[in-house]
Amino acid sequence: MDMSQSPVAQPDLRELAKRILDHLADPQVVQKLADLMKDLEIRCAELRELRRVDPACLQKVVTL
Amino acid sequence: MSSPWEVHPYSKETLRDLLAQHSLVSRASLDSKLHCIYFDGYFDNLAAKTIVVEQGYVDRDFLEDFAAYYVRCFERYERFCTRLHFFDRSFGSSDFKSLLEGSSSPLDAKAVSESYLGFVVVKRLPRTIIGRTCLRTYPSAGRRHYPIIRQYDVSLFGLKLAVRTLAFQEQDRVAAACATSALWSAFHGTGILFHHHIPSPVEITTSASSSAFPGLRYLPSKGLTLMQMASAIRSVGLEPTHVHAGNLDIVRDTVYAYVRGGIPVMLVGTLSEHPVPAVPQPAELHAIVATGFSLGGAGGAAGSPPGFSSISARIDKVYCHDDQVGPFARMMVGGPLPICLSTSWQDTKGQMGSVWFQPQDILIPLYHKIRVPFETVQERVIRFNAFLSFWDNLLGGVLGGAVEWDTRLTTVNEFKTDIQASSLPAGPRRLLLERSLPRFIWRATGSQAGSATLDVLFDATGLDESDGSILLYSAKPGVFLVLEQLRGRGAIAGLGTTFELIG
Repeated sequence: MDMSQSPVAQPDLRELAKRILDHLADPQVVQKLADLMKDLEIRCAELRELRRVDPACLQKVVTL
Repeated sequence: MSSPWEVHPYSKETLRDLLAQHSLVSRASLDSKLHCIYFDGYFDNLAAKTIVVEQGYVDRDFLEDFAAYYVRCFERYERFCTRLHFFDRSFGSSDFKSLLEGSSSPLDAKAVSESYLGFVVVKRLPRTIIGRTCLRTYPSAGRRHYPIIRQYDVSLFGLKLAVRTLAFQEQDRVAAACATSALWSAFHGTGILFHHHIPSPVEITTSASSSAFPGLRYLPSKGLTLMQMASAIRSVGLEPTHVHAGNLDIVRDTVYAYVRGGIPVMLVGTLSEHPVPAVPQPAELHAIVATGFSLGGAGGAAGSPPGFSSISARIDKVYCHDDQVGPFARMMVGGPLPICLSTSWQDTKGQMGSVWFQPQDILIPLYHKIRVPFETVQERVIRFNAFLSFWDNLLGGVLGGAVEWDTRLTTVNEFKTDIQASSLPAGPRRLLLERSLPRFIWRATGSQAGSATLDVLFDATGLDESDGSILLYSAKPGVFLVLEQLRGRGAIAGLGTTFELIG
């Protein structure tokens, strides 16, 4: 991709890029993000469990 | 020789008279037949005005059932059917006769074609008489969505007619139980999409029963197990994807993701009366096919997990082919039971409104190349959404706030057709159109304040375990910038590092 076309090249967004870098250098921010993803992993595992098929149900007869 | 056709003004009574006349069911019993009650409302909504009766109609599906079962009965059943055609324009026998004779008439072929609502095949059987039924859907009204419908071409004495719908038929409890009827309707949807043979009901029952299962004879069919339904799906060259309906969000999310992509979703569950009657009925399993949905309610409805908003949470009604009710039967989402949909079934007192369908299993017939299931993609979108939200908070809302996600299966052709029709700026538009993409794609579109601002594509034919995202387009420079910066410093949650970023 032609980086001269990137929004980073726009002056009003350079400041934003700098803020992102500052946040990334902050260990607290990095830890918070890691904690958030860990929490999401638990929630996604719960969703997977709710979707899990019981193999015994394959023998249930659909009769109506 | 009697005329092979008749023309009647439409009325509920006339329809019931014709159904009785062309079947072996008594006129009195039709008043309580659920299909008749359903058709009353359906044809009222479609504003039906005229019925044309086509006698001596050969229906391919019934002919297969007839050859496999009815022909060997001692009773002499009729192999020919009657087809009832419906029109939302009034005309009489003399108009129709003139049309066939080619003489001057106020009725012309164009007017007949434009007013065509579809047809119902009537089988000359003692109980289960509703054969292949192809009826126009209700108008969209901005909320009803029927992504699975396709065109059925009809020839009525040389008149070329067409109706956009998905075929329905009642189970006959001999060649087909409800599971077979559900599969038959589903195959009418997948047959065109994935180019496979559409088997007749008896062919479905036979292929399903070829898998090992003790105890049940296959004809007359008393039902299929989920394993047999899966076998029937494999017999047409598709792969069955099976999901447990663990909560209502799973039902809504799954129906939306696949039905929006044109793939019918079969729901298997129990029917139960609520409040529970004095003499409770045994809970038997029933199968229906989700063929559409209604998106009501306000935008940004909460989904699960908390903080994740999905358009599927706005589904307030699912339209289903329920072989014992009718085509596109409206089922309200939610009710007195934790996971339930309303039905049009009658309770033990013959009343409607207290029988609820509780989905337990979801079965989706998929083309074999669609390997990555919806749940894998949804997890990635959930992670990515949380990631965006985290950075949006950190950066003071520069990313535009909460995102509502619209995640569905699509194809490269549909995606590029959408891009062609869009008003994207020239640069990203060309990049997106020129990009080589797999045939099947999971597309997650993120909207903020009602406008689509993000599009993430995942390879549906790839590896379940990989990050899988292949392309992200963002219309917002701020989002583009944040992602561009963050990707260079490690994986972006839910998307990984390998995707192409277009903005």
